[in-house]
Amino acid sequence: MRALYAAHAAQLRLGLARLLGGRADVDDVLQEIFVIAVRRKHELAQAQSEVGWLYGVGVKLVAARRRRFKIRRWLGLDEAQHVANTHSPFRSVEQREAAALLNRALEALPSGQRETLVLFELQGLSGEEVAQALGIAVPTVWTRLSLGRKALAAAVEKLQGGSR
Amino acid sequence: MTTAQRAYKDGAEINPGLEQAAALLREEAAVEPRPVDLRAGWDDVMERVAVRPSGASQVLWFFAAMATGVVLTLSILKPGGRVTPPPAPIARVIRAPAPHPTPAPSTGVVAEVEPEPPAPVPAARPAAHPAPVVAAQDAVPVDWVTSKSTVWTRLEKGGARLDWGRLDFTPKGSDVRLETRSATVVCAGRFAADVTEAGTEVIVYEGTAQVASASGAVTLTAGQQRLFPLPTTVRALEPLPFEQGNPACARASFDNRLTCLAEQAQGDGLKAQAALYERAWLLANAGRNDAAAQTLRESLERFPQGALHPEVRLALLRVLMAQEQTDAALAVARGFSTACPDDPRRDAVISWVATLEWIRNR
Repeated sequence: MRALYAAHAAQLRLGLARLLGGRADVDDVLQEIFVIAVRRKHELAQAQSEVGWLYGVGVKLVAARRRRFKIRRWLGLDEAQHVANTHSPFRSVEQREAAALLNRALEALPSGQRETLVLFELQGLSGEEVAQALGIAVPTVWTRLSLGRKALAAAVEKLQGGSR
Repeated sequence: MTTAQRAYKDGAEINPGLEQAAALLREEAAVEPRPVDLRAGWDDVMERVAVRPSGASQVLWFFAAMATGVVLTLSILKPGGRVTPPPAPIARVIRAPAPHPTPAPSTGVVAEVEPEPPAPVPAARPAAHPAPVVAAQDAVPVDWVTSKSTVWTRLEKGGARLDWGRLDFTPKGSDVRLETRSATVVCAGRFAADVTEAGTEVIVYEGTAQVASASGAVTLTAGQQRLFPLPTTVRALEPLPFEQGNPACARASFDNRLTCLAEQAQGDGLKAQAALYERAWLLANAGRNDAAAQTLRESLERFPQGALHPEVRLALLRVLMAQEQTDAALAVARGFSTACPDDPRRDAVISWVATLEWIRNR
């Protein structure tokens, strides 16, 4: 299990930050994933793909966090600051701005499309792994990807139009 | 079907209107993740695994909330009525002195325990030599909770052997057997055991626990706690705090720790000397004085003038005195006064020589 942590922790952390929209509790969610993995190691051992299983747990935890954020916002409480720093420090200002733009555009997408885009396009998971992580069929992954790409382009265009 | 798709970011024929989004994805996907502190991160994971939230406690909270709701409803419906809660059970406690010179981590308040006739506990006296065990577990069973520094192994016959730290048990109906160096506990209710340098402290929260120790067998009931000190003959050496041990071996179980230290002792440097010394301490604290003495002699043979040789000589002296090997202890004490002429403890050792000579000639 420790080897699994060593192999995937950094990449998983980056994926969680993308799914969470850069919110602060990435490390907490990462730990929680592996706590669940330790407790359900038999379930993990039977999974088709360990990576898919880990991301699947991560997606569920992120969804729960997002619901909590929404409730907090609805109650008028302060939302957690976007302070998670999961990227390499060797990034230019332009790269950071591009990442922020992409992040805002992804936030505008429905959750299913956002999760599919992040896992497939950014995290490099295969269609089967994405399907396992999200608990959907593989054809549904391709449908969501197609819709998500169009929605992302529209969101980027809208954000850029708004900033001009 | 599954291989026909291509990553959006790699698409060559994409619509120009989508180009910028694809470029953003391409750039973001190429970002390397920030490295994670694997050691600290994994330690945190294991710590969280150890302090799992109890399902029973959640159920209790639910029922407590339900009961509060019912009481509030009744008080609203019957304004004149009074809701009298039943009296809480009170455990009879006395303040007792610490049973061992070494301060125990408890509060010093122990429940009064009535001695009882021997209970049906198989082991009347804890075994000085470790029982056969299964390898240390990396995951704690669902109904056990460990503290951070707990060193334990699961027994082949069921239950656990606890070498250091605290274990909390919430058995589900069947007896759990726990062995430590100073006590053997059998209990079907919720209980905890905490092994420190002072001995084993047993705390019973629910049900009754049969505890066998060197002083006999007792039954502890819910609300009682008691310290079972190490037999004095076992402790030839003062205990070595686990936190000061070799960090490479510190988190292992007792047997694995001994093996780890034996491997660390293979070299020629100070590390090897320290490993031998720590190994001897562990053995002596487990009551295996023969093995401890053998390890200390090995250290003196390999490193007669090593950095730790005065400490090794003193430790060997204590182990031999505990074994009542007066002649051998006398030889070691004389060797110390010759080999360590400037050591501030030399005068004390010379006085021991006199005592040992008196014992031998008696």
